Amino acid sequence: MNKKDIRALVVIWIVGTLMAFLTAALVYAAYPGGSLPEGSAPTAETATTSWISAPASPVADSVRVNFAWTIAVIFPFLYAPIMTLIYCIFRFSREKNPNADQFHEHVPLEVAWTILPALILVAMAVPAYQVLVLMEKRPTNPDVVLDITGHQFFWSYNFPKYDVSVTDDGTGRSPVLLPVDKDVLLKGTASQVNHAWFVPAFGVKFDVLPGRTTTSWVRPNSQGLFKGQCAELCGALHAYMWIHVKVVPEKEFYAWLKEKGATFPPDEAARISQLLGEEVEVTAAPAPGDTLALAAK
Amino acid sequence: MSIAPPEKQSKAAAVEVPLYVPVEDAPHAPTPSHKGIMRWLTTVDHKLIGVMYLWFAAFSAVAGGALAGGIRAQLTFPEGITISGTVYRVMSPELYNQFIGMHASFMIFFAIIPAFAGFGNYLVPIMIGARDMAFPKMNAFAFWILIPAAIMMMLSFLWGSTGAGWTGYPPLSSRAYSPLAGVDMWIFGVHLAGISSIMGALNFIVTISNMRAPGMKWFKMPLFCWASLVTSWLQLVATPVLAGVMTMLLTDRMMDTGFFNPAKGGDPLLYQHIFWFYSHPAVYIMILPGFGMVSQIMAAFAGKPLFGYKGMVYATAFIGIIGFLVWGHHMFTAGMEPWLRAYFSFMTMVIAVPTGVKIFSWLATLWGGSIRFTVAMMYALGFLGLFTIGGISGVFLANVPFDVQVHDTYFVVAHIHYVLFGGSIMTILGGLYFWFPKMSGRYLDEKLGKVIFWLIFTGMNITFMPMHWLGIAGMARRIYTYREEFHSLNQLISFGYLFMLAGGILLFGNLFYTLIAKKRTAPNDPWGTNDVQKTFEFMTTSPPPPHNFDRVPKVA
Repeated sequence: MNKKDIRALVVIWIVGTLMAFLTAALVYAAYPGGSLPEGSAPTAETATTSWISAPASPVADSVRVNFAWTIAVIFPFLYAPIMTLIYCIFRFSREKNPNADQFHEHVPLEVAWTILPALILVAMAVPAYQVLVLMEKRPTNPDVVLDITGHQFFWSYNFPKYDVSVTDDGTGRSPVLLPVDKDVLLKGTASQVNHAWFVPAFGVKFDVLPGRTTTSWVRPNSQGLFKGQCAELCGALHAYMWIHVKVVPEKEFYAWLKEKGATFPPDEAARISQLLGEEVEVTAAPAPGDTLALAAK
Repeated sequence: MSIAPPEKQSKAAAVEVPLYVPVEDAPHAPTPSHKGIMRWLTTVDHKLIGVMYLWFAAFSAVAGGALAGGIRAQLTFPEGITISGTVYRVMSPELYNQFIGMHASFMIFFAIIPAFAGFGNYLVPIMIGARDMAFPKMNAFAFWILIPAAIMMMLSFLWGSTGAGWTGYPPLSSRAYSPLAGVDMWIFGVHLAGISSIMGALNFIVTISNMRAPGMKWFKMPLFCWASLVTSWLQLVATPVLAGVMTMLLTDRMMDTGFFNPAKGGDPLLYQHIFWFYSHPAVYIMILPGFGMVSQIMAAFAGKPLFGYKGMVYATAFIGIIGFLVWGHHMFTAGMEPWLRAYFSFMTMVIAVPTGVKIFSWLATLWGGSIRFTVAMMYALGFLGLFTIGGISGVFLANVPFDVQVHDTYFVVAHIHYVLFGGSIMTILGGLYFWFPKMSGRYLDEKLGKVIFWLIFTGMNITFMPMHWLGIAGMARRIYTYREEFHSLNQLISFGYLFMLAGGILLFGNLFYTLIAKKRTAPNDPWGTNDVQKTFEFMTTSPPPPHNFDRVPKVA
């Protein structure tokens, strides 16, 4: 080993690090995120399903950014060791280097390569934990609560507030609708065996288990039909257990609920009727003070 | 084992080379009481048992590989093959689920773990200068119990096998959703394999603790012995937990105990916690011995002592301990407390540090070396590259937000195959080429070995690299069919499988040919590496006599 080799090693690690940054930049540039352009609402066949190429929620988008960052900080430890390995193979073969060095200890070096990666991991962990906090930040006052139940081998949904139940037949013709730009709390359970509700574009994957209620949340920020799939082996037709979620404007969402026979609770009925452009029914929600007057009539 | 009287230790750190005589002339060599097949059936010799472990692992790998071929066939033609209007399915979805469960079960319980048990059995007593394992009869029992285990698991195909994957999560594996006896047979198979593991582990711990040659202090043991010791502790502590959870699953199925049945107050999530408490350490059970083997192969052929021996030992032990504290990272989507996800994520990153220390130490071993590109060394170098990839994808999986996206997708499949194929299998093949002359006295063909290496190395990368991309693109794991957009990559993956298949067939051809046709020509030190790395196995004959050493060797 001589100075030339040391220099080569330094170059390898610098190039490896730069390559990692370049990879991260390319990934970041190739998948710019952002909401889908108007009029590109996907159909059942082409439904976008990727958190990286078409994120449709703040969580999915944060994961996309975090992924590029993770590549930037971690890939140096992929590229540089492999390049070092290749350098060793070509430089330190028996033909090129007949007399092997005999060093086999270097405490400062060993301490360095213990401490330094640990620090780099902190650089990965801190932003990752920020995204984790976002993922855990379930809305305390959600606009919509969606109860999800996994069955062998289909999904059924219930909007507890509006008493509407729908079933996804797996073909994409009967998707469940969610309003765009609203906080949706997802509560999942299963009727028979474990499943996982996985809609990549939302950045949501959570297991649903019988006898338990697990929760997640999503705030869809793009309109369109989003396809997902059960992500926990659940039996023979596991691969066919598709999920279809259609994200629509709020008005369309409530119109769909109404069509499905929703009963809107008093505190929301007026607003929803207004949204749907209907006559406001005065008697729908008597104010507390009016009760006596109404009774007297 | 007879123990030589303690002698004065000289300050030189070299190993005293003991006197050896060929096996035929050995004055104290016990003559085997049986010949031919009966000798193998009745033996308690750790070397013969080790060789039988290796053959057992080889045939299990053939079975597991064939099952992988079935999986690839299905995924190559996910909608079946249409011949003149009729669609012929490769297999039914039920059978596909059994294939994926059995592929993993066979590869884990009957190929990788027994392969390392085989190397450990053969090498550890010789490396520490002992005549046999501490409990030779228990050693034989631990091997022979694997045979009914494997037969039982294979036969479970007749009764529906496990359609719940190798993880066997209830309720899918409960009687209500898997009513056939296949699951019970699978459970018994795992039980028997577990008994074998526990007995083997106890034997290794006692052997390594008590039967080291005079002067072989803890920090003079070859790294493979260290790796076997730590692995054995992992097996001893973790395997009973697996046995427990399997028993609970069994009584749930047989006696309606309801441990995991929510209708009876049980909890399916409980199973996952207990299962992964075993199955995460199991990952290290399947890779740590490989680390040990690779360390010795690399030092031998780099012509340099292993860099940072003590650091390697500490890293191995540290990985073993922390390995018990990270099981939850298999369950990031299963529903747990937010802080618990953060904790498991943190510990998983912690475990990356000693793993990094190992990779850097191997690179420093190569640096400035004088590398001989034998087949064993090529596998060791291939291992280093592939395991780095598997380790890096592991760090990505420690990142919870990313993990949640790729959990139960092909990214995870890619990761475990880079670790278990690129890691474990590469080290097993490297160890095979390195120690085969010692075990048989015959050299495997180096030229053919290089062809096999390149077939397996190329095929491995063609097969498992695209799985990373599939997983990120959202292809779920364990699915019988998939969306059209994933078709071309799946074709490529199946193409890669053919490379590995060709490599595997040639490897078996090479093994049989060498054992039948070639003469025993290997000297005591078949690779001429004793000037670099002195270990006892290269100081006795190839193959060693039944009692290993005529005189108890010692480390001076």
